[in-house]
Amino acid sequence: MIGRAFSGPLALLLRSQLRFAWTTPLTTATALLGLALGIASIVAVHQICDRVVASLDAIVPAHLRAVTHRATRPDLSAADYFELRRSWRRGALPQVSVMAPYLEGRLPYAGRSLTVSGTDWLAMPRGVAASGSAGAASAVVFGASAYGTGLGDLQAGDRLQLAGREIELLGSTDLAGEPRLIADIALAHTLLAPQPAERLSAVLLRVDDPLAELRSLLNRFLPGFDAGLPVPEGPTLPGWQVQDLALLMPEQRFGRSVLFNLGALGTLSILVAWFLMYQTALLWFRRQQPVFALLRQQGVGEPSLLGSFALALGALSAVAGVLGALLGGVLARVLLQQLGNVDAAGAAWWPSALVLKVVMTVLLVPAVSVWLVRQVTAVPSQGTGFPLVRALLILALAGLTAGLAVWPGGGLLGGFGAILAGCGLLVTALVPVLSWLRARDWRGLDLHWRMGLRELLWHPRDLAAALGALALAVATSIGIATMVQSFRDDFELMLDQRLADAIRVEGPALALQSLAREVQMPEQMPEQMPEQMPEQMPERVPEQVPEQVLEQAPQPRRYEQARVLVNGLPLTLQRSRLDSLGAGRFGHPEALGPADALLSEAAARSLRLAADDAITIGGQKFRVAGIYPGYGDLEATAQIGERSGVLVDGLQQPLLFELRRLGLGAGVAADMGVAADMGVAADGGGAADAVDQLVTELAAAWPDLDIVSQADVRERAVAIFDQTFAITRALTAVALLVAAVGLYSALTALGLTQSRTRRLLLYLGQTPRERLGFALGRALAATLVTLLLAVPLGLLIAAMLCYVVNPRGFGWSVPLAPSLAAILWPLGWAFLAALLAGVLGDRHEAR
Amino acid sequence: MTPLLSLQGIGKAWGEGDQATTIFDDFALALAPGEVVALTGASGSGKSTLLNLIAGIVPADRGSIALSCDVLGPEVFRYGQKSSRATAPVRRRALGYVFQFFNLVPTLTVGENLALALQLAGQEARWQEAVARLAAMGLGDALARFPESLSGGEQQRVAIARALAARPPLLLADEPTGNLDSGNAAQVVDTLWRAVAETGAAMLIATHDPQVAARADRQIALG
Repeated sequence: MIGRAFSGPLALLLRSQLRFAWTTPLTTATALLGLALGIASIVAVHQICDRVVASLDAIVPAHLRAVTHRATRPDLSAADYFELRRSWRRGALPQVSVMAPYLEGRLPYAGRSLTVSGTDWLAMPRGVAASGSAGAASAVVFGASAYGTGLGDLQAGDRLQLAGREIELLGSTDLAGEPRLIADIALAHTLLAPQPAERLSAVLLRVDDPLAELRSLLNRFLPGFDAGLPVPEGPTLPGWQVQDLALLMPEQRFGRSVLFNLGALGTLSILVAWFLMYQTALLWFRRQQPVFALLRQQGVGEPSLLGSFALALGALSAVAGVLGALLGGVLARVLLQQLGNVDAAGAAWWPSALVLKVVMTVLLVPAVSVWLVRQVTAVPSQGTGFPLVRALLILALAGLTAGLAVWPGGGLLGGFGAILAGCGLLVTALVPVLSWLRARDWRGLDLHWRMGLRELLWHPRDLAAALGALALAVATSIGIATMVQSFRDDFELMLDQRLADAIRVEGPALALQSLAREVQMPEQMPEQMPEQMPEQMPERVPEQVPEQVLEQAPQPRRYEQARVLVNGLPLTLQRSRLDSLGAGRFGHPEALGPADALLSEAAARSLRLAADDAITIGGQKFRVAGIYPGYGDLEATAQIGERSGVLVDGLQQPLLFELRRLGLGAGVAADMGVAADMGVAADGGGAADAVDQLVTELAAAWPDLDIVSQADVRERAVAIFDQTFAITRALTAVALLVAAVGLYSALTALGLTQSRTRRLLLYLGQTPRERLGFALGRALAATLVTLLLAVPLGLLIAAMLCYVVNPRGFGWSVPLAPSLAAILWPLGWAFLAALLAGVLGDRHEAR
Repeated sequence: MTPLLSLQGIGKAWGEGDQATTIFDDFALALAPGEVVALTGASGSGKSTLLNLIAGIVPADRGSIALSCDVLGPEVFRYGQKSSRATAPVRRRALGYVFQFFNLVPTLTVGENLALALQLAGQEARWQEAVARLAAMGLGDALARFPESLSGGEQQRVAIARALAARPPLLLADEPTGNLDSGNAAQVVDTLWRAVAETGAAMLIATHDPQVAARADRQIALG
């Protein structure tokens, strides 16, 4: 049957098509390369996002995997929970499918602070309970990867002593975040001994998501893309505060936002790749047009012509699909290795959605080609006006772009939707703009330039796709590079501002305490410290510390941290000496009083507070003295001074502050959060050599501690920053490359339609040098058109990323700082592509 | 009298080795200023190849071509085996060319097509004269129009005006009526002969049409 379908004229035509591909190797290779790169970008983005999603899913603690919201109220008790549960059972909250009590508190353990989380596992869905805790006398521990000591070493079957009880570990995982013990609520209650005894921390809820199916579908095709959809609203409970759990897991929120950015960038790459496929089909069609005309004259039917054309392109596309899949897999692995903490080896080569995506892309080429043969004719596009339908489409896209940009409810998806709509607007508006340009007489221009420009504009529909794709890729590149550069500038500013200590010391709290005492006791020791951990205060005096080292070490600064709930929102509370230098780290001009606090941008946004508002933290009233840029702060964070009074936690116990770091030097060390992972530094005092020597000597004397100079950390921080955005840059470069190949194809196709003109010019005496100048002029004109389109769009994308997408996705805004390099670099690529197309096309024609 | 164009001992073959086809072997031709010569012969006899050899687009395998005219300087310009780059001045200043198809740059208006030929020849001063010639051909109002808006006959008349705009001493015409109906063909031939007579150019015209060939001063049968 199949053999019969391929016999007769169709088989001959197909053979002719394939022979054409074989005898025009440059054209075929260009098409193959472009298609393969397009598919490679699709595969790479999919695999990278897939692995990042898997990594992010792994960091969600078991007790939170089945729930979406958390409800709290002042002095929440078990009675409140049971009343709410009775109401739910009666059908009052139809959108809630899971409800469980939750108790959380902190206990000192091995010199560190351990979070104990307890819930009623029987109220959780079965699968979740099985992977969590079962039975009152046992629990699962999640270790801390942040500091790599303490609970992280414990394994299943180990026993630990906590609050006078021996607890068996059912399992242990080394996850990101703080040390945590997840237990049954009864065990948590016994360990934490809340006052009053009926006290609860929250009620966990699972709110059914009407978009669940859509999320699942989106996630299958673009892993992580669902992060862009709005989060379902929690139920309204009078007297209760209901919060999205995403606020409790800022690391995951941050990760998902990064992922969404990657996914959205991948979508742009796919768009550019598909543009290229359109261009490839067009190039082939232009090449074969005379043959088609001849065959039509000989009576060959349209279906046979279209069929053979589609089959030949399909064969080319299939080869490109295989090549692209292999290339994409390699690209994904290389880029994943840049991320470090993501398991690159686990990347599946052929998840079904990815196969479907590649096959769809491969099939799209023949489909588009058939459509092209039907739509595009050799007759130059006529008309220079704006047809009504196109005008309406342009208006609709412009409205959509503006609407999605300003509507805060659109979330991340809205931000990127605005960018996509803007890009659609660009391509849609391009054809009439090119037609309008074509209709100008360009009298002021030299005749050769006029001819070059008109050649470029002569087939607006052909060129619109290529220039649109290139402009899109260049604009994306400009937008992302500008955003990343703005991000980097701000990040460096933050480093310079906050990280003023010459030396940073981190490690177990006991060892830090010991070093602080030995180097020099600070003038004021927080009152709670001796009472909080009396049995753990170190007596160790390292005898090996040379006297002169201690003399050289400058006054230490203590950086402590605790977690509190403020209006139901978990807040990271950081305590340090906020004199004028310390407050200056956060851009605040003067020293803070004991009742003053500084809030991070994320905290201010979550708590809806502004400067000079009042806030109650740990039972004490503070004035919000200022809001500091939250760069690097994943969590809602507040800064208070060391002279603040005694604070209490939700259970009315004295708030436990943990010593996280010491800063030695003229200034103060950075706060932690993301900045801790990325590093902090500045040479705030003394010559670099003296600091390095001191670091070396202290490190030798205190092997338990991580002692580094801030200059080193700063260098590392910037390096890690650059590494983090390497994937973004690589994907942008791939999109740019694909678009450049597209432009090459377009200009080559253009050259084919203009080959007779070139021959005529040769007969009129045009020299090869003039012909080359002509090609260069055309390349310049193409770059100029791209520049006119891409630069404003690129800056618009950058502004959207900085002011719309970042605040929605990451919770902070970055001041836009356009950089010339970010604009010139992709434009250089565009010019190179156009130049190559011009020169190679010219040489090709000359033969 | 020094001939305007002189070809001596021209040899040209297409292909190589056993596959080679000899087109010309020791071919000679002389053309006086203002003379009109018709090239006749079957398809493949070498009419277009000869025109391309004279235009310097295709180099001869052997032999020499000499062009003697003021626009190329006091010396006789000799070529034959020179590259198309080296013979570009010949095409710019000494030759006009009319083809069967595709005579005009489609992305330039009629006026711009004339201007392009004048610019390449360095004869911009002849603009008014070229426009007047176009008007005499009945196309005075076509200056701002693009070629695609003209009929085949009109396009060919513009091509003649373009080919003679810089007043070259030699016009090469390759089947100029081959793509036209008989009415338009006759009109184009009349225009061509009138324009050649007016400018004093010599013409070498390749044609299958015996009536066109008969109007020439002499005929050379190839093949």
